Order: sequence, then structure tokens, then C-alpha cells
Amino acid sequence: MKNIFIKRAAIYALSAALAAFYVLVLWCGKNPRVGIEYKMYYITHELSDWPGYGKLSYTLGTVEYCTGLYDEAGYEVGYTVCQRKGQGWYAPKNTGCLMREQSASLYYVPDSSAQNVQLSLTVSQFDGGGSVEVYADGELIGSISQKGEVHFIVPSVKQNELLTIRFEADGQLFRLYKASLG
Amino acid sequence: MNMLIKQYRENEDIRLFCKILFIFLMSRLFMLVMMAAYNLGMGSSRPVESLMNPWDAQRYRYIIDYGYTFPMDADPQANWAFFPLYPIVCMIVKCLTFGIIDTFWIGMLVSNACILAAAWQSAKLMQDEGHDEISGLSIALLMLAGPYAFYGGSVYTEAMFMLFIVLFFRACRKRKFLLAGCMAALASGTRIVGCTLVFALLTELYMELAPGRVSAAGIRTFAAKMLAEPKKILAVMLCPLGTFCYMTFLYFFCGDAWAFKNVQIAWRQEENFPIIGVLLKACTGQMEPRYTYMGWFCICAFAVYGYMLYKKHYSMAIFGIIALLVPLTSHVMSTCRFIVGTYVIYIGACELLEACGRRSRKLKQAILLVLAAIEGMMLVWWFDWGTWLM
Repeated sequence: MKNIFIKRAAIYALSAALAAFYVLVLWCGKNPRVGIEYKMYYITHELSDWPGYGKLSYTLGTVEYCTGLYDEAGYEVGYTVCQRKGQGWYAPKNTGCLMREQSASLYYVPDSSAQNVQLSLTVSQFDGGGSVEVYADGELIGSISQKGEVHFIVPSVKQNELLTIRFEADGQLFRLYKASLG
Repeated sequence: MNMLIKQYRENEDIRLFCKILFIFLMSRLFMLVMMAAYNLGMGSSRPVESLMNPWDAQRYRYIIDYGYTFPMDADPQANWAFFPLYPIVCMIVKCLTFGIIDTFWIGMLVSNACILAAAWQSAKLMQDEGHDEISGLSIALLMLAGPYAFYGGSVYTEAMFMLFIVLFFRACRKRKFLLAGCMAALASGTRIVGCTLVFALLTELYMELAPGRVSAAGIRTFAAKMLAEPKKILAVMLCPLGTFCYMTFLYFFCGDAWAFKNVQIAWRQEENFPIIGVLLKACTGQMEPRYTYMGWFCICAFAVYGYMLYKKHYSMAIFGIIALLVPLTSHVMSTCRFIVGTYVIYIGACELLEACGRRSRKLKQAILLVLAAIEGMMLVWWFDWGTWLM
């Protein structure tokens, strides 16, 4: 009788232990220990391209091209490709990356802090009237109304903190070819 | 030798196994003939392991050889979406053979052993359910030589997954629920939908503890009786163990316990409304033709599951439906493989075949022949990396 009681208690305890294990794993699942690139691409889907681990980090002054990783012949391109694009862009082409939605972003994690940093953009296509507004961390820093090279001032960038450059369009066809910060 | 003959004559199980082994050998011989015909027709000389293992089989081979890896900068398709139990078994077999056998052959050996065992146990399951030996052999024939049977001979998880599901339902029939829970745990370590066997187990337990229609009083009775029986609680708790163990591994490996789910974004970025939106888009031809076919295949599968509910195969039908709804939350891609891999469709198909057989035996034989011919055509397509079969 006592043995049966112990056996039953052990089975209940084992079931409870399994339940606790599942809760613990679910808690771990809710709190992943991952880098910002992983989180923004795989979990929140804010990034449209996988940049690679640690590849959102940015050295001020680096010029990046918003094309694919390979040229038309299938060879790897010899310049730095911008792989920090958020949602809202079409797949990149050799002429740049076309905005797909009303809002599209670029994400930077600068490796140093600076004030009044210049954001330089080369726009390879701009069709439609009006302008595309450019925001840095939610603050309006200027607008684009034609193709060509444009420059804006980002008030401040902080080391290892995410900087979001957001473009807000109103029906314009806007293709970004090149971008640099600093 | 005389001993063996005596065993064969006296032991019904051995007789059944020998018959299924014969079907298995014939089906594999047929595959080999198709391979030779393919090579002859195409003027190629591709070996067996190359012909039988396109698409995801390449990824399984990589996992068996090198384990799980991190995504590369240019390729976000990390191999975490592939559950570990099948690769682990293959790794063990590879170790036992001192690594001298090619990984594809190891994988095919494991898959073929599993599908043979699954077909045998499936025939016995049919007998458990009151069917005759012919029905048992029919289901074995469907599993070994019917459409999509080539998955059971390739480096894919389907064969092992089906084996665990068959063993799960056999354990349920024998009222060995703890064993059923263990089989579900193994299935959930093989594929994510193995977890959904918990619903099949709960259905079986409900029918055992509170027979009759589902009602509030019935559910109360069921809950009360369940709480009083710790073994049954443990059986239920065991079902998702395989998946949770894999999640624990992933948490320590890449920091994300849900990585197997989150990594899916690297395969498809289009987002559709789950299930209804996905099916509507697929079936109305708004996707590629292969997805339209897969959409309609899913509809047919649901119809078969509906028939199974009508025939009172409640737990199997519920498992089949839920296991199909899971992939349909994102896309119809690979659903034909998933449907076949969840095994219970074979029970429904076999019931339908029997219904045909009752009307005309020749009709049943003709259907089986047509299905075998379809498998032959599919095999050629499979050797050719047909995208409709991926």
C-alpha cells in the first residue's frame, strides 16, 4: 500500500517537474539571448535582409551601395553592400533599391559617438511630385524631391545605440543607390 | 531451417512480417528499375544515393555530418528548422559503422528500416481495429509503393515520424497510454507536429474515461478521473518533451528557443492570412501551379479526415487535421509531404479502398495499380528534383 502511494506520488512529481521544465523553456523562449541583427531579422522582422551577425554595426564614413551582393554575371561585387535595410523596400537591383511602401528604413549601430553627422544619399530614381521626408530616430531632418546626391545633418549618433533613418513617401517612386553617414 | 519454417507456419506475426517484407523488397526493386530506366533515358549515370536524395535530404546529410550551424552572412537559411531525432539516430548508426558508409546510405538505411517497421505495425494496427489481413497488406502496399512512398526511402524524417505515430496509435489501442506518451515524445523530437499527438492522446483518454458525447458533465468527469490517475497525466505531459528538449538545445546554441520557428522567415517572406487565406490563395490559382495542386491536395486530405470522423476514427482524424493546420498557417509548400508523413491519411485511404473493394474487388485492385503507377511517375520526377515534390 505504502509502495503504491510512493509510486503515485513519484509520478505526480515527475509530471509537475515536466510542467515546470516546459514553463522554464517557454520563459527562455520569451526572453531570447540574441544580438540585434538576429532579433530584427528573425524575430521582429524589421530587417528585410539578413545582414549577418554584428553587421548592423557601422564605422562612420563607410559608403554603402544599396544593390545585391552579386552582379549581373553572378560575381560578388567589390564594394560594401548596404544590408541594413528594414521592411518597405523591394529586393535590391544593380541600380539601387526601390521603396515599396509608404515607409522604409535603414538601421545603423555606430561604433563611435558623434554630433552633427552628415548623412549622404544618392538617389538614382525619383518619380512623382512632392517630396520624401527623411527622419533620424523620429526627428525630421529634411526631404528629397529629385534624384541625385543629397545631404542631411543627423544631430547626434551614439556608440552602439540603434539609429533609425526612416523615409516617408507619399506615392513617389524613390530608389536609393548609395548611403553614407559621417 | 525446419525451425524457421515451423515458426513461419505457426506464428501469424512472422507470416505477416514476411509478406510485408516481400512487398517492401518488391517496391525497392521497382525503385531500382526506375533508377536504371531514368539513367538510361537521360543518358546519365547518377548513383542511387544521388537520385533518391534531392532537396532537404541534402540538409539532413549536412546535419548528420556536421550538426547544426549558424547562418552565414549571405545565407540566412540556418538548418535549425530540421528537428534532431532523425539526424541523431543516423549519427549513431554512422558511428556504429565506423563512419565508413556514405551518409546518404546511412540515412536511407534508417529510413527504410523505419518505414518497413511502420508498415508492419500499421498492418497490425489495422488488425487491432478489426480489419482483416488483406486490409493490413493494403495499407502496407500504400505506404511502401503508393504515391509519395519514395519519401520513406530517402534521407527524410517521414519514415521515422510515421513509425512513431503508428506505435503511438497501437499503444493507445492497447490502453498503454504511458507508452503512447513516450512515442509522442519521440515524434515531437522528429517533427514539430509530433507535439499535436497530445490532442490525439487526449481524445483517446476522453473516450476511455468519459465515453459518450462531449458535454460539460463529460469534461468534468474526464478531468476528475484524469487527476486521479497520475500515469495518464504523465502520458499527456510527455507528448511535447522532444520539442522542448530541442528548444532547450537551441536556447543554449543560438540564444533563441524558438529558432526553429523564427528561421522560417528566411524561406518565405510573403505573409498570408493563416489557413483560410493560404488555402484560398493557393486553390484559386493566385500562386504557382504547384501550389494550386498542393492547395487542392490539402482540401482532399481534409475530406478524407472528415470521412475518418464519420467512421469514428476520432483521435486519428483530429491529429491529421491539426497536423495539417499547423503548416497551413504560413504556406501550402510541402504540404503533400506533410500529409503523407503524418500517416493517418493512410488509414482513411485504406478505409476508402475497402469501401470500393466491397463494391468491386477488381475496382480496388485497379485503384491500387493506378496508385503504384503514379508512384512510378513521381519517382522519375523525384530523381529530377521536381519542385512539385519538395
